[in-house]
Amino acid sequence: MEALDHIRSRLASGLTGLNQEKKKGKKIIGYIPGGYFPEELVIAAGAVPVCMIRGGDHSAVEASIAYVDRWIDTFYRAQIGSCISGEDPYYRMLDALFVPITDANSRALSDTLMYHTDMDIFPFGIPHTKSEDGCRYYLHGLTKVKDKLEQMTGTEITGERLADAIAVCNRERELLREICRFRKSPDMALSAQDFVMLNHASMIVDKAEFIQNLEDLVRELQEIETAAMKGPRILLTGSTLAMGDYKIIELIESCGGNVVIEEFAEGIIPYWITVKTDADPMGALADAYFTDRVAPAWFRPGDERLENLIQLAGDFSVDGVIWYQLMYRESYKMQSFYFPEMLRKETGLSMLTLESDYDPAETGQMSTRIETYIESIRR
Amino acid sequence: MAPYYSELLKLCGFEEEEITGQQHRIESAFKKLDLGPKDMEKAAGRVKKYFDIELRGVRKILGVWIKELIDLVLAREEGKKLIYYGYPPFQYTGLAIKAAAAAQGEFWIGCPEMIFCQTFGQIFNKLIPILEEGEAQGLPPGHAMCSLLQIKNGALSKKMIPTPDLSIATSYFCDMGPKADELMQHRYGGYPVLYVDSCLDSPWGEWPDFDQERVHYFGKQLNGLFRSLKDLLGIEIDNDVWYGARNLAAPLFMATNNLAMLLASDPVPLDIADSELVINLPAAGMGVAIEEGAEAVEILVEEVKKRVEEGFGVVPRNAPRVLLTFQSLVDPVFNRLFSEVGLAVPSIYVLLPPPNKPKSLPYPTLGEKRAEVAMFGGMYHSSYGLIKRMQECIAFTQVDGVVYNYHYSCRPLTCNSKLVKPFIERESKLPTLLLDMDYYDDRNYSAAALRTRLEAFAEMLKAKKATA
Repeated sequence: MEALDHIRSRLASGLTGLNQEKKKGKKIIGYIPGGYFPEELVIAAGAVPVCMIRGGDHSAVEASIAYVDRWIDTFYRAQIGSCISGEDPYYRMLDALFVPITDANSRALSDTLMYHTDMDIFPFGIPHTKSEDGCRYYLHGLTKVKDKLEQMTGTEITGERLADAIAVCNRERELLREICRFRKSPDMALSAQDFVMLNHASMIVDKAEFIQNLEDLVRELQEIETAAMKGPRILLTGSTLAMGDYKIIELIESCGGNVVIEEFAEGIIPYWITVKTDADPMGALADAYFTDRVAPAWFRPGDERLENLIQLAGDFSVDGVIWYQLMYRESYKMQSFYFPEMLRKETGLSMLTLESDYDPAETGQMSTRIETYIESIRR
Repeated sequence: MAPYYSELLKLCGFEEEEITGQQHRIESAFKKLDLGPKDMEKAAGRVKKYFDIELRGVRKILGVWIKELIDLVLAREEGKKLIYYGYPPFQYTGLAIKAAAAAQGEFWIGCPEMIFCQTFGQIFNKLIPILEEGEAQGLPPGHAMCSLLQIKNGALSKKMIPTPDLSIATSYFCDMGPKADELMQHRYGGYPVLYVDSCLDSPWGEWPDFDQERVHYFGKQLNGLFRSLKDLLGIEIDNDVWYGARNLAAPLFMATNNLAMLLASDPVPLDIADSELVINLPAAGMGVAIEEGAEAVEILVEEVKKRVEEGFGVVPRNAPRVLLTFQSLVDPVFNRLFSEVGLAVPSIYVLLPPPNKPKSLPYPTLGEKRAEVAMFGGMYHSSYGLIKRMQECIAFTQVDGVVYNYHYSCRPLTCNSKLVKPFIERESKLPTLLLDMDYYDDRNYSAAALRTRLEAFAEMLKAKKATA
């Protein structure tokens, strides 16, 4: 599909695009994934948002050893390694890094980078319990983010500018939803690798062009003839699906499975939400990003996510669930213990749990387990 | 013939009449806990080997822990309601609940896993089957799951302790505790879990300042806890109850403070294997630990005072002094290592001097007032706050070095572990040793390997002291 090729090409040249923007004098604003940093604020400030979503490379994890304990989540260790080692060009380009503090893993990242680098790090807290007070605290954090962006860029984030940015991001989310719905079909509309790539691209490439490409993609998807899907339909869920961490999807596909829906707090944007346009824009951002979205596993209680997984399993007619999480992300690990029973009770489906430390040595064992699981579903 | 547990209980400070009078309760509890004659024999040997039972205070404190265990195990069948809270507990919440609950019937209030550490860990050395059960029931090995939570999970799964009527989760500090409480709620029967949430999102370098909104959010969460206690159990906590409740434990706090002051003497008069037994009394259980614990610690204070007067020390005078983060809560073998390698431990991190509290803002609610105090305490503020408070403790205790022995599976301690050493060495100019260990599960480290590292550190400090 032509639109996909365009997006792939833009993603591959993302760094060049950012360089060009920087040369024009625009601020490059990095943020840590998780769906709690509204890109709308950066866009409204006339700066360029870029998500630090790259992962999957064990050398970055190794580089973190001198700075952080190994008992921290793999993705966060990889970010620490990438940033402090100076190996990652995206980090080198940032004017500031915004870190939503979700749990001790993001605290480790924020504190370690603040201590060991000169980078402008801006942490802001995400409460762990959905409540009015929690939403108010989140809004307070967003207001600090807004103030910081205004101070950095010299641009006032007016209600009008923010409303425009919300409209852009709403359109992007709307298109991703529309594309995702094609995947409900019994035919193979779009591969998981492509859909995940779209998510990653949405966090890095220029929005205006990206939205144009997504619109083209929707048209292409409406027109193409699709073949019937062979092999079991899989829901892939977990903590983080980073750009570059494609091993899991490749293995599932090579074993004959088809990932038809993904649920990840980090790596898949919260495209199911829509920010209200008929309310105060800051409040609307807080409502959508904190209250309306499905909370990740580290929320207390965290049942909303599990109920959503059961809903997605039904909506996308899956035959099995693969739970892929990174090492030492304890909130996900605990849910992975009692969720299979809930899942079986509600849907009759089984679940396979896999963990990764971005170590290439995991591949063989992971492959065997996936192959066995796919076989067991087929039968 | 004396009962099979008689020798151990006497070693642990029980009076003959207590053993006879409580025979039925003791046997009933020990049966539930699967503690038989062989366990008693082994425990008696362990107590004699690792604890300073020449001191009556130490024996009494060991006994207090066993009594608290018995009360916990039998609480349900004795008609009590149970409220569990996580570790670390929030300030005086347990005491306030105890004070307010008195009018609502009989309650057992406390942190059951801490009681298991002190008894099944320190005394009986029989935690492994409980830990293994905790691992099998959702907190598996190899994933840096907190062993303290594994103990609670294992004890609930094995039905050694009753399921509570209410559980209060440590969402204000720890990520894993509240998630483990949620898991246990799923596994063992749907009792209510109250999450008292906070966001530790301060930037590096902010403490002792803080964003006022943090106090508002945390304070409202605490107020929510108070409301829920009233709605669920009729327990009403207001300003008067809160501040009055501290009187319940005033003798224990005073005795513990007195002991802490004596521990700072040179030579250090008490091994940390023994002082560890004292430190968690106010945190663990709101029954015997508070009521009889004070008397036991007062006895110990008098005995230690005598040692100080006589110049008695567990290490020679002028031995290098180190600040320790925390003792092992289950393993006296680890705790004894310090005196064995010639290191004096005059204090540990949790015995910090009170923070220099800036002028308080006029927060309107009890929750906010408590939240504000928590910010000044450092630990609930940020990693930076925790380390800065450690620096204050260093200045207060005049130590020669720091041993940051951290519980490897405690994310709030692990997330900053590699910042502590460079920070303390740079700011306080003190040698700092990082020890990656487990406070609650001695399977996760080798005491011998830690000894080698401590020996090298001790030798370095001795040489430094000699040339100073």
